[in-house]
Amino acid sequence: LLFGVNLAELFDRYSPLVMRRATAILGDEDEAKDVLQDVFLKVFVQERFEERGRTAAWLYRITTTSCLNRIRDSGRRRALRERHLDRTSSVSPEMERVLLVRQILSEIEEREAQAAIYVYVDGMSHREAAEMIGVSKRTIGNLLERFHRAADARLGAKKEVEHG
Amino acid sequence: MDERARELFGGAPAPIAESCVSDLTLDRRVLGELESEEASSVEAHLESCTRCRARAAALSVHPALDPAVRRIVLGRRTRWLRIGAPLALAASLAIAFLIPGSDTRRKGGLSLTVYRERHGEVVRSGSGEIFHPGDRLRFEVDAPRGYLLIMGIDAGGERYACVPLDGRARPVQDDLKKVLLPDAVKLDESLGRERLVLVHCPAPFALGALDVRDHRVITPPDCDTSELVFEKTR
Repeated sequence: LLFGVNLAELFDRYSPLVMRRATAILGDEDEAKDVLQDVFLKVFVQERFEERGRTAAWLYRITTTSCLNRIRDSGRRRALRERHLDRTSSVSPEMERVLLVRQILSEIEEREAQAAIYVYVDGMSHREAAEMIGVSKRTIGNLLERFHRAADARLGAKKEVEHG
Repeated sequence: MDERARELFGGAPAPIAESCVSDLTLDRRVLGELESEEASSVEAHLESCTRCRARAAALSVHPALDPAVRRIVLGRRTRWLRIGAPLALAASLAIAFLIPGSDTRRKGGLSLTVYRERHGEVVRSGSGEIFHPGDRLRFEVDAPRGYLLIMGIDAGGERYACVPLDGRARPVQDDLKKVLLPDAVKLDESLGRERLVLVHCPAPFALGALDVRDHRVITPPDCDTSELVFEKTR
């Protein structure tokens, strides 16, 4: 096609990438499916599609925002925890990790969370992450530093609880 | 510090060289989005880097998506339709006297569907519906190969180019089947009955080649039209 975008084709081509990232960020497949829906709804109402060759980066951005919106919703966090409680009322170490990451991401600024996701989930360089967020490479360093401080505070608090 | 954060996220492994690539680059590689120069430097890197080769292999395996999810996602359009249903019903009552016998949809394999967004909600809209200033429209078309233009005709009979905005019909090299055009237009403040006419011609043409006489759209020979009428109110 010279112009025009077929939504079904777009979905088939890009949904694996969106689903994979949403699952990695959220740590929950059911929620990732919801994000997949959110993302393609947004794609559909966007003013225009991203220029050729930049669609993946554009979907990365929309997926990140959509995941962070869910993470900030504390009701969802509680529901997730309850869903993963087993009979002994404890969650698996993997779910502990997911809940902890989500806790930290929900407590920091949006751009700090974005920087952490691009660098630590997607393995981007600071330069790439800077391009994704639209800030300087140096700013990424600062955003990550703030993320680390928040993570330290949260990990410290967790240790205190564990060790009484 | 970084290592602990990577562990916390359970994401991509740490780069082992300056030239190591991100998941985004690996995704773009598979999707054919990389420019040739970048593509060859990525390939060269993959030849020599076990970390990135392993990551590329890991990303290429994705669990099959439940077909039900695909149906649900693409079916969102059906759900939007349902949201719009009361409006559509009201409009279908109006349509009878709004456009007596002028519905040319589906003529010559040509069809025009409008998706209207208002306050974040998307509704598939047909002829006779009530639109509002500020609504954003997108178009889905069926059309054979050739040249396409969507012309608007406002309540005062003024013609304007809707898609493309420069008024020159856009070439289409393949048959379009339910293809969503990349363009979006926002409705202005003027009120009253407006028409949107999708014009398809086998040869290049521009807005100036079209005319409206007694509400009939006059086109160059061998062209087809598909039309949609709506009322714009506050």
